[in-house]
Amino acid sequence: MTDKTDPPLQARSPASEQQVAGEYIVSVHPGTGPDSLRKLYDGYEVRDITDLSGGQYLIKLQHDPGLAAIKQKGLDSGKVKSVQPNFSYRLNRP
Amino acid sequence: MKKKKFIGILLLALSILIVMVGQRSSATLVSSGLATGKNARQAHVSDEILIKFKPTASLQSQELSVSSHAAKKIRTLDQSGWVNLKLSKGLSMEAALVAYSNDPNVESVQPNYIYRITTAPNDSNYGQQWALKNSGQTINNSLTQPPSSPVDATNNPGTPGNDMDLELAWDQLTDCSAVTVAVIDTGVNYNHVDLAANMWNGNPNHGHDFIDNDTDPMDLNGHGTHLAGVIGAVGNNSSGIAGICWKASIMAIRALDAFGAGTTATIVQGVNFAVAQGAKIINLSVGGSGLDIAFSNAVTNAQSSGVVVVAAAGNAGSNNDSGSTPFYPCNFNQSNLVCVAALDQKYQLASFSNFGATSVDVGAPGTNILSEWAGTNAKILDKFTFGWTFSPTSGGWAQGTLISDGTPGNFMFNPDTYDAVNTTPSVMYNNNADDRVYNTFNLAGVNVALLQFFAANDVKNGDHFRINYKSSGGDPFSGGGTSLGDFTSVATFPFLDLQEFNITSCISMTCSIGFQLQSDASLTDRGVAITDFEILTLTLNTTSYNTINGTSMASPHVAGLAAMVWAYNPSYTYTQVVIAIKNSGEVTATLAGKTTTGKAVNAMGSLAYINPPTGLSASVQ
Repeated sequence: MTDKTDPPLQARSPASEQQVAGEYIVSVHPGTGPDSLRKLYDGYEVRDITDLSGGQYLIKLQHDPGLAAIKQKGLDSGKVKSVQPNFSYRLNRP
Repeated sequence: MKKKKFIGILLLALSILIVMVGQRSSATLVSSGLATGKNARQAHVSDEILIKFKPTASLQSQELSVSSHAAKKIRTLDQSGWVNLKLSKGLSMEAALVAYSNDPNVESVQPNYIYRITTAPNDSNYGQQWALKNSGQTINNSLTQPPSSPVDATNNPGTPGNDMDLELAWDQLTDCSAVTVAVIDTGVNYNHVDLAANMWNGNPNHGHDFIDNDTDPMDLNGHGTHLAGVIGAVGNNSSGIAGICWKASIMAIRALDAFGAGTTATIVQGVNFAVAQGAKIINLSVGGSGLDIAFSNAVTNAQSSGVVVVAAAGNAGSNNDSGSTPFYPCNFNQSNLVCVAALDQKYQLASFSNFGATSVDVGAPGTNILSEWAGTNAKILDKFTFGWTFSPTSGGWAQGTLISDGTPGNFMFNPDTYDAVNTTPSVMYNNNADDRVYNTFNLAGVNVALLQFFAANDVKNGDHFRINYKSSGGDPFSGGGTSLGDFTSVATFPFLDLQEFNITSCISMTCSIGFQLQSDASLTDRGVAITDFEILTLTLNTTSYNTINGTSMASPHVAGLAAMVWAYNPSYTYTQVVIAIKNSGEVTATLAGKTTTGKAVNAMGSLAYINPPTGLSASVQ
């Protein structure tokens, strides 16, 4: 058994604003569907696309270039209105 | 004579024994159009008064007093001189009271008040539901999970009368089943004996699961079941608890997993599903600090469909209006949103409750709330002191005491002389190592098993800290094991980060869980230190209950109330429901300047705030 004194080990709470890596919610212009999104982001290896309704889709990417790149590519295509992370939520009991 | 006097006393005593409607320090029950909450006048028969003649008033004088003020005697109450008069048309109550107050033959005058026996359910644990009826009772820990967990001692017992006045409201309505309430949370144990009859009659299993993307929203955490019970536990069935609505239609939407975790996508899908399937009210006891546009769009979608969204204010004890600590969805500004803070048993703002003068609307009970639970919880807390198999037996993994956050604790660490002190480690793990340690746990019979621990993890690129399990027991790294995590090129010291894994697939009598530190021949680092190793289990059943705290618990009180208001007046719009709830509550000092209304929700006030449907009678027989 090894005893140590005065170490700085300390528990750390998870960051309050977290997002799921490689997952984005994309809001599209009318007429844009999952096939278009898959082609648009094909270079990042799309794992899955889920229709959230209301013109919003959850896309899951194998290779995540980051929010800025996803957003820029989408806006440049004229098919995407907005992109945001898929935020994480957690019950926080007192 | 003695017998007649006794009867007189008995008649008078009846007015005390029969509970005065809304009686506390000031009356509450109203008839249409009168004030609400604690300031309401007590209901009375509109064209009758009671007067007591002076003992010296002759019979002739009494008859003159009655006729001269345009009244007619209905009956003599007793031998003490009280008579019941009916007022003529055109003579107002107020005028009659003034006239008889000035009559020299009259000793006392008052309205003929309406008394009613309030409706209390016979549910066996109703006495522990202070939110519905606060008698100053002490909330105990007889129904907690894990069993015998402590309850909140703050302001417990509370103050009699600090409650939502449900007993008065139940006299008007107990069946809210025409209004479906969606609980978007960890799911609902729809088989619970005190919920099954009140589940939404749609889909094969009363809702949907957006975590596993199937039609089974069974609750694998407990939280969602608790909320559902607050809203609509079957009332007056001689068991369990009473919901705000004794009969209800609860739609179960699983958007949070067994850990209570979800995402924008699962919540948005849940909201959109609820709206599409006809829910009129949505309860959201979850939130976050990030401005989530997709989430806001979902709330707007609900608003467009006339759906009320009730949300918890959050449990950080912070000001949601501060700018630096917003909490969504409460900080969204759609008009269909009602944000709820938590009150304790003395109607003080709970210490953990968020608040906000512009973003939080009302208060509702949120401490020591008893409701249904998904099953029985248990916890295996392992301190690494027994049963662990080490390979090798020295030089690699070891267990011992380290100090974290100033407190000694039991740790598992590698190398066996782990340096928990120096910024630059004086000792590092070995090169070319394949160090393993594991233990075996009996998890037979449970339905859900969650592993969590804290770890400081410093391994170089190419080296690995792995966590595995194997349901058949033995070394989980020697074939047949399942990987839970594989960390490389990380450095978290001095921080111990929470690691959580769902090990439900390991449920067996011989679930082995282990750690491996594998290194190559190149650089090494400080190593790994692990503490607070726990396995949390849930065994589903249909009869469990739990007593817990949170704005999560306050929110469903308001969601249930919204269902009540809407069932009471089905022609209402969502705007009218929201206004009735917000404006009809009790002014509560602790909420002043901390909520938009400064009020605690009040059930009878909410129902009385609107014109009640015709056909209801308010007089006692």
